[in-house]
Amino acid sequence: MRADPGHMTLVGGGKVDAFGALTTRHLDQAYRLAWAILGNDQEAQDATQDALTVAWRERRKLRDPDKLEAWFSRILVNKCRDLLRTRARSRIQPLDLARQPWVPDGTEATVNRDELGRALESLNPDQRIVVVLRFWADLTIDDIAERLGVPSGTVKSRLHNSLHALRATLEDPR
Amino acid sequence: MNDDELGQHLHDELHARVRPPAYAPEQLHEHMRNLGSMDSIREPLSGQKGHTLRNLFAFAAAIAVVTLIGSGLLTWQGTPPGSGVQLTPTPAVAVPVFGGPAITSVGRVDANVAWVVSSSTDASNGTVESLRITQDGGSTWSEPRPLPEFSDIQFVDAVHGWLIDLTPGGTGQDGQIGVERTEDGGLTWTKSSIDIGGGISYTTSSMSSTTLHFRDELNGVALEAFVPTGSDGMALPSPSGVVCVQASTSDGGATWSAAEAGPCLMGPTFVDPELGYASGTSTSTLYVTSDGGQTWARGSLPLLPGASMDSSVYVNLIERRADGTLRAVAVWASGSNMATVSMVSSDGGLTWSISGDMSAAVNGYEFVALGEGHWLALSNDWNFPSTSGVASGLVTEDAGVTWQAIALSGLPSMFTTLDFVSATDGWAAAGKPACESQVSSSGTGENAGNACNIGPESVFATTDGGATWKAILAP
Repeated sequence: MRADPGHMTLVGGGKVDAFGALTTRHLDQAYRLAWAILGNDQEAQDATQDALTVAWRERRKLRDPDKLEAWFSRILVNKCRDLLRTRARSRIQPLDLARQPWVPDGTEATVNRDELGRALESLNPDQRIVVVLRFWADLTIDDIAERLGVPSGTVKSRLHNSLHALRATLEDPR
Repeated sequence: MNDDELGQHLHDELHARVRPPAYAPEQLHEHMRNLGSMDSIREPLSGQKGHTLRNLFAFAAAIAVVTLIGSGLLTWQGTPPGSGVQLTPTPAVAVPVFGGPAITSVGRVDANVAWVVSSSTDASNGTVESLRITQDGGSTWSEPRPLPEFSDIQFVDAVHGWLIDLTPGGTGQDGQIGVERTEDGGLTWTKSSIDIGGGISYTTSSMSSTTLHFRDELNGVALEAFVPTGSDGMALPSPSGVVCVQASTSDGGATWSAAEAGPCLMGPTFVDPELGYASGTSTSTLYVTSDGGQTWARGSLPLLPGASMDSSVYVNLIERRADGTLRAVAVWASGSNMATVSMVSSDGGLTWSISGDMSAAVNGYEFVALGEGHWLALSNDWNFPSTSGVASGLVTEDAGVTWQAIALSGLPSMFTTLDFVSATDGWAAAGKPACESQVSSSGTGENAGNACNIGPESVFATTDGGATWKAILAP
């Protein structure tokens, strides 16, 4: 078994400890991923904090330290999904992507980005998560499957459906 | 636009527009450090199973005090974080990763029979847990017997035991909770499963926990709380996001009947074969069972003066008196503030009233009931390495009205388990931490601190009610 020194800081009882192996680097990465999925600071912070707490409770379940990052990401993505579902139910907090700071450029590009933002908002939580993991985090299908705890085929179908929905929205802006 | 073109467009646009902050907020780092500090505590105390929250409050005690002033109104007063185990960025120098074994579970059936689970990790086998059983109070032990990956384990005697199977294909697949049982002290294990039905599935990545409790070799319950997911891996709708199942067996775990539980029981804890308690999903509720977990009565907790509505309440001890009343120690926590009170119930746990505020004496302590009103309170040394790393103790003979310090000897901090079978006969799993200073990998000093290895743990025993301890088993 490989021990990534970047993973290991706190060693409880002289053994690899799942939670103790989380480092500042992982936390920053996790927060950025949550932010990318959720689109705002507060929810990203909430999701990451909840994920940390769950990881602490569940730490004995991680036996392979090489799986640490995927394991924690899976917990985090589940938390993000919960928040997205809550947001969808409450209908009070639309996706913030369209309100993110834009890079100043031409009118046409801005319009295109607004359309894209609205299109992304139209995705359901699971579709949105696979889009962010695939095209923002640049993960492979297998890596996404590992983080979501679903078969690769499920990821492919979600991605396909997401692209189909995005294309339909982009081609028929209202 | 085909899929590839749209994908490239998404990639370009998302990278251009989705620009999260480079670093997580400091509050998150602090939260992680605090949890990391608590991570030295892996097992519940008092030989009671299932509570990790207990340890949350144990740590909260290290960073908060509540002072009682004047007319009895409670003033919540936070204090700066303590200097417990620090989770810090990885230093440039290598930190030892694999080491000796550690005690991860201790359970005592009676004065003679007990089990201990220890874990060890090496580069080739990963983490391996093994079981040892004693039938003579710890004088001699069985050879280590390997265990499958599990989440909860219990023995009712030297041979009959059960665990929740977390091996691949066990719990979490196809709506099954995997249970393994042994009738020969862990030499061989037989699989069975609890069908939670309804096409519900979940993975161990979902938040889930199972508490096993057997009253005897035949009758037991399994209390499961989990996030349900469908066959496609998508979370299924549920009112609180969590589904709870209660399963029971009357044939030693060979077969189980399961039904969705009405109340979701969080952290079920059993004081003895019959008496147990659990929190509900609402912090104002406390469930009590008097029949080994078959049925649960919902109780209401009082409102603590001065506590905010978002306070969490955690019950740390329940004692049944000969007169039928129940006594309890409860901790209210709100942010980094907390209060510890004694409570009494005269109706089997349906209603509770506060009988005393013990915050000034025992905030952050763990409690063991040794007799009627005779309670032992122990606390780890959360200020280590600034201090010597020795646990501290208090004892009361009047259910918390007055407390007296006891001079502990031989019990290192951090202890992780306390299990007493009589007023004098108790065990603890403990180890003395060792820390070394570390610097931030960035070299800026930010997040610098101490990386602490709590060291191999041993089983310690006391025969005088918790004053003096000696090691009886080092894995």
